[in-house]
Amino acid sequence: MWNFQEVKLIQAEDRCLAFDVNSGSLHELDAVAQGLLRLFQDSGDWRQSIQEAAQLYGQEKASAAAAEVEALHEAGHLFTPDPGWERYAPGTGPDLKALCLNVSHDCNMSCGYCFVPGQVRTGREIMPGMVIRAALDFLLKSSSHRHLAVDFFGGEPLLNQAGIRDGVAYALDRGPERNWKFTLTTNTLLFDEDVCSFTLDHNFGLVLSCDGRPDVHDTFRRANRAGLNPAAYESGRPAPGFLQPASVPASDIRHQTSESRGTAAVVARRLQDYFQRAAGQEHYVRGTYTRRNLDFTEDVRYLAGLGARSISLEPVVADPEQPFALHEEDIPRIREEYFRLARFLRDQEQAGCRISFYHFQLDLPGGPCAAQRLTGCGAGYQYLAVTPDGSLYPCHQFVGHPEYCLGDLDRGITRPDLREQFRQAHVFAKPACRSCWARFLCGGGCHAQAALAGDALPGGGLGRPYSLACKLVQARLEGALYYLALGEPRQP
Amino acid sequence: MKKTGHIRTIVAGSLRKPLLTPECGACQTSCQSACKTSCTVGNQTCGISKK
Repeated sequence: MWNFQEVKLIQAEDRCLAFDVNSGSLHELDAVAQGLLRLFQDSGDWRQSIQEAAQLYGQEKASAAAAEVEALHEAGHLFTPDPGWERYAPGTGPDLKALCLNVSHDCNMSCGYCFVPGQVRTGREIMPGMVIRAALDFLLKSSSHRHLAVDFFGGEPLLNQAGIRDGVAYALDRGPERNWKFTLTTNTLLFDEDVCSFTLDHNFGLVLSCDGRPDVHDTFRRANRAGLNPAAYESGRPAPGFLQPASVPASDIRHQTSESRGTAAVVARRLQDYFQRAAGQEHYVRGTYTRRNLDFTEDVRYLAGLGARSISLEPVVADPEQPFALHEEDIPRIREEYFRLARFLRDQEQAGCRISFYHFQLDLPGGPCAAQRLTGCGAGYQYLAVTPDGSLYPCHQFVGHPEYCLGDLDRGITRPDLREQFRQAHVFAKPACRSCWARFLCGGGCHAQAALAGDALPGGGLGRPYSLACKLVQARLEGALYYLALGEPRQP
Repeated sequence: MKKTGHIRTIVAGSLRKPLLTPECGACQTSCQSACKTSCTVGNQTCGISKK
């Protein structure tokens, strides 16, 4: 008989949705169909469920709803059998295709929720040009892929602009036959017209950090002494002089000193300048939400008001002991907020303003191939992070955790065993994922959260996704499916 | 989308595609290009079909 683990019922505000896990189909149910499927969910007996539904809704309606369910099943859109993807085995080839270059561990902000370990932050290292070139040589040598991606990251990468510019020129010179995709993740303090032009000239994707409403943003995202006195930095340019004192006491937030200043005003101006200059460039305004702003739809509203049309808002990655960390008891509130966000975005569209929220852009009929759905994040084998001293890590979130160091640019991969663990950490290798309704939309979750947060738990590690992160992703995907449903006008 | 009596199909999905092995490498491989912390795959695009 049909397996209800293969269908997820979602009650989103006043609508009931049924998501078919194995086909990716999405349906909206009326009260009769919903009642019938909930009876089946409880009993597991289809014939008995129809009889019970007949008592509740009448024989004719119950039979009609049951016939529709059966027709959808026959068509491959409901209770679709497992596609047999559990036979999947990851490839074994030279599959590196992306590097995250931590070109500056130094930063001109001291964000209260920064996930970078303290010893990395305080080291303030800048990646030398020779290391950047060696990293690009390593990528070219290690990869047969035509498509190569390089993300300039930090700290604040624009504290090493010379390195970024030289790295781009070197990559294009040494790999002219490759299809390069560069990305810059920046807090925008140094993102001036000159930098913007450079990124436009080289078709960069941009990740521009802003948390939303000024008081929300300034709570965590503050300029430090470097941001206030950028002239002290040889590689930096003078930052704007209009940083404002923040409304939240510095003593309330980690990594802050009495010198730190809120950056909301300058970041807002940077973003508005950018939107005017660079319409059409691939970018995301990327913010973080914490327990302090679970009404984050208001932050999306604020960012949209600044002109942002591509927004990615992420749950904070934080030690559970921190007062701003998210907890399991926050999930129902967060889930409702994602529904509220979905409705807000559709209302904006109705008013002629389309805003792309990164995590709501599900392409159920198309989207990635099966292999990508099963492997999810390629950290550790398709994607590596490089530190200023040339050390290799599975991704940027592992930097500062030496037990996950995979090697270095001089010697290459010295921990092939660890690399193989990442390669094998696909959906069907994780018991929790095998039975999760979201598995083909999620891809198995974040390896860094599984390893770094999961280590503290019994059975933690790459084979066990971090349960809080799972619940956050499930809530967000429910919001994404609701967003799809809201895009189709209800029929009378 | 299609509506019968009690069920309205919003998306008729087609996840049942053949496995592609080895991976072609045209798509993004991690969260690096947008969110940096909480990547999922359902919102990614296929690098081949995008062209």
